[in-house]
Amino acid sequence: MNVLPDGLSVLADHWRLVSGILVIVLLSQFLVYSAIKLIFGSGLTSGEYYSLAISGWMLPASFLSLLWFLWETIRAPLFFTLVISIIVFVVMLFFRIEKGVAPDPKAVALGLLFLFCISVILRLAFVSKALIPFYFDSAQHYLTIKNLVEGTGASSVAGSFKWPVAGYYHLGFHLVAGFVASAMRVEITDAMLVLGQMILVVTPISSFFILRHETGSNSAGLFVVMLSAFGWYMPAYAVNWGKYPALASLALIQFALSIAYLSLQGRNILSLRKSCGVYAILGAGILTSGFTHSRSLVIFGIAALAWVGASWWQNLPRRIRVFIFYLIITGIILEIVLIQSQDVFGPLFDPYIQKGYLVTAGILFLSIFAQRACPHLAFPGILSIFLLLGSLFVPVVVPGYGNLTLLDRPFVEMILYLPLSLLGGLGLAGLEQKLQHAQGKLGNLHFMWGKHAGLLAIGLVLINAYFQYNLYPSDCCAIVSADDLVAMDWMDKNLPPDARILIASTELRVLATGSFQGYVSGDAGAWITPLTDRATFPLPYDSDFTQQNILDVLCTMDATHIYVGGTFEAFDASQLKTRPDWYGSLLSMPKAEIYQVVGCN
Amino acid sequence: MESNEELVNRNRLIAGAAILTALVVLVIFGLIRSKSRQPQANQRSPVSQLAYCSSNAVRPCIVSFSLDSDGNMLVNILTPGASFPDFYLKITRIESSDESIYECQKVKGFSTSVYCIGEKMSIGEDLQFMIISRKDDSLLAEGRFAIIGLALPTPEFAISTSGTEPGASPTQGIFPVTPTPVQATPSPSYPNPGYPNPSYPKPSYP
Repeated sequence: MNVLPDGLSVLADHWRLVSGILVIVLLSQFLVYSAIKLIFGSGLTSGEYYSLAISGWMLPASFLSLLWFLWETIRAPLFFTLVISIIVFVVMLFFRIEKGVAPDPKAVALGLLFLFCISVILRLAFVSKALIPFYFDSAQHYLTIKNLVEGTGASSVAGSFKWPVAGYYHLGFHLVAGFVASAMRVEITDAMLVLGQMILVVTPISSFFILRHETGSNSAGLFVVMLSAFGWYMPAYAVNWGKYPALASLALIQFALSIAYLSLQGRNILSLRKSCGVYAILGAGILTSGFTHSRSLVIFGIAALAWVGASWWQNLPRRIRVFIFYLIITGIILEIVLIQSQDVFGPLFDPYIQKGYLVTAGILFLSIFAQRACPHLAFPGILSIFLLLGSLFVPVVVPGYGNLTLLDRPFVEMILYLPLSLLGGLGLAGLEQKLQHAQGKLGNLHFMWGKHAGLLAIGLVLINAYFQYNLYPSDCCAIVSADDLVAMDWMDKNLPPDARILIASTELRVLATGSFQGYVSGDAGAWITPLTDRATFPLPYDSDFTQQNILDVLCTMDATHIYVGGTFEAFDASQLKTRPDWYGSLLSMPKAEIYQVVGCN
Repeated sequence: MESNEELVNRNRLIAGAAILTALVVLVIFGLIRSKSRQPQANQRSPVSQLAYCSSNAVRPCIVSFSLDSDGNMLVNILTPGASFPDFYLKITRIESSDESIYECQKVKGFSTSVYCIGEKMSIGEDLQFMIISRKDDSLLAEGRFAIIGLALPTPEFAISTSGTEPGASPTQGIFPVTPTPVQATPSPSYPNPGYPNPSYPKPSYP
C-alpha cells in the first residue's frame, strides 16, 4: 500500500503549504467555535462543537481572504484596522467563552481529531500523482485565482476596485486559494491541489454534528462521517472534475443547515440576543455558501421545502401520511427510471449503484429503521432526494446564461451522498435503539449487538473502502500531460505575445433538455491562456484540417497557431501533417504538438 | 473528586495539545523529509538510477524525447520536486564516447517538470544519460538505455518571434463551415463557461 508513503512524500514537499492551510482551518474553526459557544454554552458536546466549528471554517477564512484581497487591492488603512480588530476579537473570545460542554466520552472529539489527521495524509496521496489540477474547470479556476492574485499586486491606485472576473462568478474558493497561494508564496496550481484535498478532509467531519445532536449516538455520527468520506467515491471524486467551488460549499451547506436546525430547536429557549446571534451566523453561512457556489442556494431551498413539507406531513392522519410516503417513494423510483433513460444523465447513479451498490443497499436497509425511529428527520431526507432529482428537470432562465435547470447532473451526483449518509446514520441510531430495547426480551447477546452495531457498521464501510475506494486521481480527467506542460512553457518562451492559438473543443451538455451550453476544451489547450496569456479560440476537435473551408475559417479568425494535445478529444495531428503547405510543425512531442498556420498568405 | 467542569477542561486541554502535537509532528516530519530528500550538491549520496517514467518510477525520470523545428532534441524530465537542484544533462554515445551537453530549464510554475535542449540523438543507439548538478558538477542520476521513440516534426518551418504572424484579411473568403463554434477572443481568454460553474465532464467514472 503506497498511500501513506505517497501522502507523506507530498507532505514533505508541501509541508509549508499544508501547515499554512491547517493553521487557517484551525484559526477559522476556533473563531466559529467561539461564536457558537457564546450562544449555546454547555448545550453541545465537545464532538458536536468540533464538527460544527470545523464545518464553518470557510466562513471566517473567506472573510479573511476577502479582507486580504481588498487590503491588497485598495490598500486602505481601514482594512488593516479590520484585520487587527479580528485578531483582538479572537483573543478576547478566548478569555470570554464559557469553558464547560455537555458531558460526553472524550474519545469522540479525539477520534474526530485523529480522523482529521489521518485523512490529511491519505488525501495528500492524490497530489503525488497530479501534475496540475484536473479537467477544464480547473483551468478556469486557475485563471480566476491568477487574476485575483495579480490584481492585488498590480493595483497602484489607492481606493480603486475592479472585479477580477468578467461578469458574475462565485469567488469564495478562489479568494481563499489566492490568499493561501499569496501568503505561502506557492504556485497557484499547488495551492489548488492541496487546498482541494484539505476541503475533502474537512467535509465529512461536518456531517457528524446533526446526527449526533439528533440521535445522541456517537457511533451513528461517526458512521455518517465514514460514509461521507469513504462510503461512495463521491463527493471526493469531484476533484477530478475540478469542481472546487462546489466541493468547498459542501461543508458550508452542512454548517448552515446545522445552524438552522439549532435555531429551530432553540427558538423558545434562547434569549433574543442569542437568537439574533444564531440568525446572524445562519445568514453569514448562507451568504458565504452562495458566494462559494451559487447553486448551494438551491440546496437551501430544497432543504427548507423538505423541512416544511415534512412538518406538514407529520400532522396528517396516519392513512394519508402513509399514502404520501409511498407516493414520494414512487416518485423517486420514477425519477430514477427517467434519469436512467436519458443519455445526458447516464452517469448520475454510477457512484451509488454501479460502484457503490453494497453501501447503498446497506443504506436502504437502514432507512427502514431511520423512518421508524426519526421520521421527522428521515422523511425530509427522503423528500430532499426526491427534490434533488426533480430539480434536474425544473427549468430556470438566468439572464445572460440562457435556459438552465435548477441543478445540473454533476452537482446532484456529488451531493446525493449527503441525504443518503444522513439516512444511514439515522437508520443506524434507530437500529441501535431497536437492539437495545430488545435486551429485556432477548437477553445479553442482543444487548451486546446493540452496543456494537455502530462499530460493525463503521468497520463494514472501511472494509468496503479498502477494496473499492481509490485515493488517487482518475484517468478520466487528466487532460494535461508532462509533455503538455513543456509544450506550453515552450510556447510561452517562443511564440509572440499576440499569437492566436486554435484549441480543440467539445460540446458541453449536462441539462435535461440536452441543450448546447457552450464549448469546452477537450485537451490541454484549456490551459494555454491561463499559463501563457496567449489568446485561444475553440474549434470542434473533429474538424477536418485537410479541408479548405477549415483553413478559411482559421484565416478569417486570424489564427496563427494550432495546439494538439494528447487526449481523445484533441485535433487529429495526422491531418495537419498531410498539409505542410498550410500547417507547419513547430514542436512535436509524443503527447503535444504545436503547428503554425502558414497557408493564409 | 474532580468536578465535571474540571474534567471537561482537562479534556479540552488534551484535545488542544493533541492538535498542536499533530501539527508540530507534521511540520517537523515535513522539514526532516524535505531536508533528507534534497540532494545536496556536495553530498556523497547514492546516485539515482535514471530511466523512463512509469507509474511507480523513481524520480528523476525521463518522460519523452522530441524535436523542435530547429532540429534540436528536447528531453522531458520529471524531478522529485522543487528541492531538486538545478542541473544539466550529459548524453554520451557508448560506441564513440562522444559527449553532448543539454541545457535544462524548469517549466515555469511547475517545479517537477524540466526539459533539456540539445543535439539530436539517433533512435535505438546505446546511450549513457547523466543528470549533473549545475552547482558543483556532482552526479545526481544516471542511466544507460536507448531512445525508443522520438516525436518528429515536419522539418521546413522556422519559428517567427517577430510578432508578424500570418493572418488573413477579415474579408477573405466566406465562412463556409456552419455552424462552427469559432469564438475569437480579442484578448487572452478562456472559452466562457456556463452558469454558475464551468460544468463537468462526459466521462464519469472509468
